[in-house]
This record gives sequence, C-alpha cells and structure tokens, in this order.
Amino acid sequence: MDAHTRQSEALLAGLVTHESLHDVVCRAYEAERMSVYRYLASLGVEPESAKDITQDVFLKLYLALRRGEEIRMLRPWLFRVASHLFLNVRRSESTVFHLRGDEADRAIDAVPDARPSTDEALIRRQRLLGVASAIRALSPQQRICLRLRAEGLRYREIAEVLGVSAGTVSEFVRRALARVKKVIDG
Amino acid sequence: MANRDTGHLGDDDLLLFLDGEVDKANEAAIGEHLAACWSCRARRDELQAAITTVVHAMDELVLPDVPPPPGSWEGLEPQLARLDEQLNAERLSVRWRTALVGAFGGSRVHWVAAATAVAGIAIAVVLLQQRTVTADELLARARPVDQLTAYRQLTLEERQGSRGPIVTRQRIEIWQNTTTHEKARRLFDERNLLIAGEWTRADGSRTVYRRQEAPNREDGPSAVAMTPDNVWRIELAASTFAAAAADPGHTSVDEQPRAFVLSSPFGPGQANAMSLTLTRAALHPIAQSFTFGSGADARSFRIVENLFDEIAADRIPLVAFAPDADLTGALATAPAAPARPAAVRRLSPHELLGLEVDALVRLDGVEALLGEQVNVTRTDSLVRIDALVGTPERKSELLHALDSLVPRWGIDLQIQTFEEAQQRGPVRQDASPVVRSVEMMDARAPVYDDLKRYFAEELARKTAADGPATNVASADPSLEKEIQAFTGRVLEHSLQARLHARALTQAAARVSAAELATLTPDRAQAWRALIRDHAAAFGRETESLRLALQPIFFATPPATRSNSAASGQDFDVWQTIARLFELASAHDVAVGQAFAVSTIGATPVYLKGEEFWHSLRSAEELATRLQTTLATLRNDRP
Repeated sequence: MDAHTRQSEALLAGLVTHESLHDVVCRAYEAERMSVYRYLASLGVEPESAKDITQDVFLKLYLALRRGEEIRMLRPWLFRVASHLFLNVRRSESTVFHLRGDEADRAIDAVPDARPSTDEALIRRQRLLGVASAIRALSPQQRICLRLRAEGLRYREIAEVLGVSAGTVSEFVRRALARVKKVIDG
Repeated sequence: MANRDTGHLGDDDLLLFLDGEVDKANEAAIGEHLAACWSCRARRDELQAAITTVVHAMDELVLPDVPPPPGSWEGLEPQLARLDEQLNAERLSVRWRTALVGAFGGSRVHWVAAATAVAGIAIAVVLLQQRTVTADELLARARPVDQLTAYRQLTLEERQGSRGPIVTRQRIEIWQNTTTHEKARRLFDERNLLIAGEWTRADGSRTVYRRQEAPNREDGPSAVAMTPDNVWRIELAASTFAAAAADPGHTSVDEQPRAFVLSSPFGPGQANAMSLTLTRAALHPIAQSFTFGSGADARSFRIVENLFDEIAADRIPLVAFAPDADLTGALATAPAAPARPAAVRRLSPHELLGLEVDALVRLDGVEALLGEQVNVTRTDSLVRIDALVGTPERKSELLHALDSLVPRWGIDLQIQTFEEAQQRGPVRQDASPVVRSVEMMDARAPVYDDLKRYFAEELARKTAADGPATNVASADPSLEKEIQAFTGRVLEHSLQARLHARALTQAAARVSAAELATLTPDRAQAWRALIRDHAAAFGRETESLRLALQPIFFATPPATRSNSAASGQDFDVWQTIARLFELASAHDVAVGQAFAVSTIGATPVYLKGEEFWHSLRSAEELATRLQTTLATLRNDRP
C-alpha cells in the first residue's frame, strides 16, 4: 500500500469517527482532485470539462456516502466513477474529445530537461518519450485499461467501467503492452 | 497451462499471472513452469519490464504533461450545500401517497395496511416515500426531442393485428435544425432504398415526396393527417402523445424498472390506441405505438428510436436538407432547395475513409474481425456497419466500441443479434462466416493411422522410460484421447490462421495504397498496427500448426527452400495479404480433409506431402515479411 492509498484510506476512516460527511468529502477532494483531473486530462478531455467532471466525481462521492454506500478503497472508486462520467460525456456529446497525439509529442519535445544530462538519463528519457507517444497512440479503451490497472483496479472492475468482458480487458492490456514492448525493443 | 505444441507459456497467460488474475489451480501450474523454465521466466521479466516502463512513462511524462486546470479549484462546500438543499427540497415536494389516507378501498392499500400492522410504522414510511407520477407530469417533463437540433434514427415496424408477425420494417432518418426551423425526414425500406421524404421549411410549409409520385406541398403548420400511410411522418415525442390523448384521465402509466409506458385508448386521427415509452432516467421518448382498426384487420405500428444525437447546427451536412435526386430527379418542377446555412457541409471522401478506418480499428479492438459476421462498407455519404452477433451482451460490446466514432451521423449501424434477425424475417445466409463443427473419432479420419502409430510410439517410449515395456493395446483409451486432443488442436490452429487471414483481407480491402497515403498519421499507424497484429497472429498459428504436424508427418523436416515470393524486390502489402488468404484457405481445406472424418474413403492426403510443409513455411515467411515491411513504412511512403 503506497503513501497515497494510505492517505485516502485514512480519509474514509474519518467516517467511522462520525466526522461530518461534508468534511470527509472536502478533504478527499483536496487530496485527490488533481489525480482525478490528471487522469481525465490524460485521456484527452479538455481542461475545462476535466475540471467539471472532477467536481462531479466528488459530488457523486458525497451522494454515495450519504446513501450509506460502503466504499472500501477510495481511489479505485474515484477512478471508476470518473471513467463512467468520461464515457457518458463522450456518448452524449457529438464533439470529439481531442486526443492530443502529435501536438502533445511536440510539446514534450519542447520541454527543457531539468535533470542532469548524463548519457544514461538521456537514453532513459528518450526511451520514455517513445513509450509515452506509443501510449498516446493507443485506443481510448486501451489507455483507460493501462491507467486503471496502474491505479490498482482489477480486470473485472475495468471491464465494468468499459462495459466489456474481463477477457476483452486482458486482451486490451496484452495488446497495449505488446505495442509498448515493440518501442522498447526498438 | 503451457502451450501443448511449443511447451511454453503464452504472453496472455504470463500477463494474467503477473496481474494476479489467474485462478489458484492455474497459478500453481504457471508458477511451477516458471520455476523450471528459463525462457518463460525471461519473457515474464520482459513483460514486467514493459509494465514498469509504462508506469514510469505515464507518471513522468503523460501525466505531468497534461495542461493545468483552468483557474483555481473552487471549494466544494458551496456545491455540497446546494446539493443538500436540492435533496431536501425534493423530499418535501414528493407527493405523498394520499391514497393511503383517502382511499382505504384499494387492494394495494390493504397490503400496505397489513404490512404496517405486522412490521410497524417503519415499513409504511418507506412506502410512503414512493412517488406517484401522473401522465400529465411525465408528458410535461419529457425531453422535448422535437425542439432540439439533432440527428435521429428510428425504426418503424408494422404488424398484422396487435401481436401478429412483423409485416414491414422501415427506417426513418431525421435531421432537425431548431435555429433555422428546418427539418428533413427520410423513409427507407428494408433494402435501404429511399422511398419517401418530407422537408419542412422555416415557414412551416412542408413538401412530401414519395417515390414515383408528384411532390405534395402542404402550406402552413398543420397536423399531419394520421392515416396508416402517414405514420412515418409522426413525431416520436411527448407532444404528439399529449395532443392526441383527448382525455388525460384515460391515460394509464405503467412504471417499469427502466421506463414509463403511457397508454391511451385514443390516438391521433384514425388511430384508435397509442402508447409512448419514456426512459426513466431522462424521460426521453424512445418508442411509440399506434393501432388502427380492430380485431383481425387491426394494423399496429411501432416506432423505436435507434439513435438520437444532439449536434451543433454547423455539423449538419449540407446534403441533409436538400431533397434527394432519387425522389425529385424525374420531376421537372422540383421546388427550389431550401436556403442552406453556409457552415453546413457534406462529409468528404477523405473523412469517410477516416471514419471507416476508425470503425475497423475499433471493431478489431473488440476482436470483431475474427470470424464474426461483421461487415464494413462505404457509400458516397455513409459508412455502413452490418453485424450479426450471438448475444445481446456482444451486441452492446460492439455498440460500445463504436460509440466514440465521430461524426455519428456518418455511420449507419445495423447490429443485430441472431434472435432479432430471426424475428425480423429469415436470416440471410452469408457465405462468409467460418463455422465448423467436426464429429471426431466415431469414424476414422484419413490420417488416423499415422496419428495412432505416432502416439502409440510416444506412449511406448514414455512407459519404457517409466518401467518395463508393455504392449499398447490397439484401442487404449488414453491413446484415443491423445489423438482426439491433438486433432482438436490442429483444427483450432488452422481455423485461427484462417480467421486472422480473413481479418487481414477485410482490413486491406477497405484501404487502398493510395488511400493509406492520405490518412492522418494516427490513423495510418492504427491501420498498420492492425495489419501487423493479425499478420503476427497468422504467423504464430501457422507455425504452431506446422510444428504440431512436423514430428508426425515429417520425421526429418524438408530443407527450407529460398522463397522467391517472400524475397522479391517489389513487395506489395495488398497482394501479399491476398496470397496469405489463399494459402490459409488452402491449408485449412487440407487440414479439414486430413483430420475430419471422411466417408469418401481413401483419398490422397495433400497434408502429408512435402509441398504442404513448404506451403506452410512460405506463409510464415510472408507473414513475417508483411510485419517487417509495415513496421518500416513511413507515413509518407505507404
């Protein structure tokens, strides 16, 4: 369990001590809103919508807790709800969420590297740049799979988010990793 | 768990293992294999390294690179307070079930009273909070779908009698622009042929075209005369229902888990009954039905919404509001086309191609190109996706995968389950699906003797190693089981190779070399990755097939020939794919002949000849060449 997870579990523990629901949700919001926002933005949601969806996620958290829903793990819960909202918005809007492919690659290349430019660090960075652009080239579903898996969601939970079978999720992850491996292997 | 032919774990198993997604029994088996096998352990570590790199890349580059949120974060407290207010207000405005107090006669109330008596007041409180909805309220709050700028697709079904078989099934397409008050409605028959259309102009005047009839102009806004011939012109909207339900008192509301169904014994015009279905969540009208006449002569119509897309007015294609030449062409006095807003436009061939590639890639993402009845085609204004799938779950999986396609109105989705297709008439037998079931081992396959000899020797070797040699009985059940399992594996590899070859052909057929050059880099890359993946899978399956057959039919593998087909200078991706498909089909036929039970008697078995082995090798080489060629292709050099 990393520091992040411990922190978020501690927040939920506030419920046990009969802290006011508002306070619990507000503290969770302070602590986790950037992770949720960055998750959405990394899926290509425009900053304005990503911010709105992020707030909605925490309002939903409040509603869920108020209903007495039991939430064991806060972060997976937040990411799941964020993914649902993301997919729903995509469904209801006819506009494309601009998936920032080439443009973002250029932006990355333009960012000056702050770290000491030893050969090793450079090579590592080059490789990561390649991998990052490979990740951006994946389908939205594949990227959601990788992100959510990295956040600790099980295949069946990801399957629930995407509305596909767990087998399909495993296939998404396998293919996504195969693409990334190709980049690593050169 | 290890692959029976290569003796090693597959990447999929390794990944599931690393991700802790395998069950206990398999986990132990995989763990044991890994403990013993260097090469699988090495591949596991590579996979783990890929995962590590992905996590680093996401944490260090992808995530920090996202733009910061605009402005500062607003506090959540005010929003929570507003939410509380809303929730409390809603609770107060709930119309209590006054029936409980006022009308003790109702049967439901008896039940409530009994329950209260038994379980105390708590239950009554829960029941009291149930909201009673009235038809008036629902109709007033229903989504005003006819007041939105949108694209809508409906299905219109006609039945004989109220529950009889479906007689016709037509499709309605509607474009509506609420800023210009224009509306176009097109009616297509079962073969997707445009048979009628209605164009409404800003002043409310309408022109109705029917195939081979003079256009009929109706001036000023007036209700459509409701006859069976005009059902397609009726708006699927709460307003239609509200206008026709003469007496709201007669309207009944059926609360279903996901919908409200309103029914009325009155209908518009000649219709004598109607119903309206609203989704529970959004009160969006999704279905409406009308009945004309009664008894055996009754005709009932049902309009069901397939798609509703609210769109920006400037995204409506130019052609949407122009009457089609199909209907007007023959007529000399075609009315002037309505004024067109400058911004609307028609999809260019280039955009259609892009949309088609997106559709292919998404379908491939859910493995829909592997043997399912899925077909993607492009007309001059639409990309059409036809699919016939086994289960409703699979249908929603496909729909979900295609959800993100933009623009939606450029897509004509026809996804049906077998059951739906059967209800709608006899299923068209498509020649393309690859379906095979083989009755094994009741009779003898042509290669049965070879298999028996080989596995008997194997078994003898094994027992000899374990202890004193025993004679293998001719009908040893374990021998039969081995042969059966082996046959199953060979047929499976062969089938899989053929399915991947078919997916390749399908994807290649949709994009020509010239078109590939015009695709955006992202799409070109996605298309090439699709081809590469299937080529790799094809190569893998063909190799597994060859390696499985080799020890039985080729004790000493024939010397590899230098293959001119795979080493020529002019390597054409499309020709190669066509060749792979030919080879895969030929291999599959040969495998089928050799392994499936045959009543034809002894036939020469192509599979046992060296030619077959060379053919497999050459297919593998072509697949490899295809992969490397696609990997080195630049965007500017397709």
